Amino acid sequence: MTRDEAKRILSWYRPWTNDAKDPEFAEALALAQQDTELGQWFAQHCASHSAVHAGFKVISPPPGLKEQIISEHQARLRAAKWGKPRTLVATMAGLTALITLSVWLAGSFIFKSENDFTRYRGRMAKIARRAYYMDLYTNNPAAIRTFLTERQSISNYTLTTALSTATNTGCKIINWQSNQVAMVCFYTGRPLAPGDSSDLFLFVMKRDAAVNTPKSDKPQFAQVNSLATATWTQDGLVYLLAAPGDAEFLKKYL
Amino acid sequence: MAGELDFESLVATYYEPLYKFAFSLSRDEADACDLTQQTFYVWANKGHQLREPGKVKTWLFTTLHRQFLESRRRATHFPHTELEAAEADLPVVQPIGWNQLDSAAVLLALGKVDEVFQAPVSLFYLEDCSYKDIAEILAVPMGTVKSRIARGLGQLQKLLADESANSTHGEGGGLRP
Repeated sequence: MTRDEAKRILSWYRPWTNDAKDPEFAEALALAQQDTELGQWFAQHCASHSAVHAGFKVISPPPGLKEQIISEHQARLRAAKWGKPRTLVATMAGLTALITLSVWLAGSFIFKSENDFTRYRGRMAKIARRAYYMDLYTNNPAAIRTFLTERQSISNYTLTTALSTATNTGCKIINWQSNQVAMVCFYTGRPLAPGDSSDLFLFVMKRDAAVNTPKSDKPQFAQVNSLATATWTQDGLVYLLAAPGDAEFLKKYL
Repeated sequence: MAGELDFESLVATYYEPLYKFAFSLSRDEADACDLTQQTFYVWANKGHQLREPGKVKTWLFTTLHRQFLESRRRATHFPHTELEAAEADLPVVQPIGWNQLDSAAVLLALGKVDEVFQAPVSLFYLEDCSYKDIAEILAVPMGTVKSRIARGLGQLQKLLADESANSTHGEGGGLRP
């Protein structure tokens, strides 16, 4: 091996590694020990590279980097461990909620809405506004109760003091959602539209025939188009009093 | 594989050399931390694909290097220099008479070396990275890796020598005699 060949080999030599034990360098290293000039060059080679190596060696990670890497990994593991089942549970819960909501909405729309007291009130208000014909035309309150009793309709209603003294004009039996509704008509003395004979209407139905019926015997007022309405519950019956005008007008008969 | 190797032990063993490599490439502490963390994150997700336990070290360094290149590509489209795969001899330059170099000066000089040579030179100076390891980490043939190291070291030595000369002439610098 010549000096130049040894230099070429030793130029790859790194003193901070295990190169000294590498057979590839053995012969060149031996020559460097024998050849003074090569030996001096090799010593400088090692010193130069070691100095640069020292520059790299002093690089050190900031404190806490290792702990941060480990803690973030553990956090991801926890998230993965709990995240998947939670996602599944959340999905299932979401689907369940959606199905429940759909059923509830469908139920509300198909069943409850049909049977809802609000719909009942609206329907009765339409009947009152259109002044349908009555089954019985009479100003005799007793005759009205008898008529209703004979037809197995509701006749045990309780009238307020004001209604008891109001002028009756007749009654009608209405079928609503397979339930009988007793419609008792009155005339308050106000001017009537042509063809009308009544301007105050009391509808009485069993309370359980509808849902969301008033729970109190204290009248609740609501305006349905041009009609004022008052609703209350008493002795298992739900009452709906309607008249053109406003709540103040109705209050005279409550 | 990932399950067989204890993650904490793996971090304890390799986070420091990985950080050094990352810092030598990025010369920024925050970037180096990110690269190191990201490397272990990739390991946690994909390490199980590694069939040979003995390749863990090179796998981690390769991953970090790829992460670095990816981040650099996003930052700037630096040109990639293709080198011949033929093995090159290290330049037999006359060793410069310095005994100790400032780390900042070394990294500053490394930053001025062509991009394609920086990773091989870093790995050359990092502990326990054999030439075979470096070739595997950079996914290039041994001949190419030696060629890149040779050229990179040539540039680095020249830069450090120039810096040393400037420092000697009282112009400051990071070299310490």
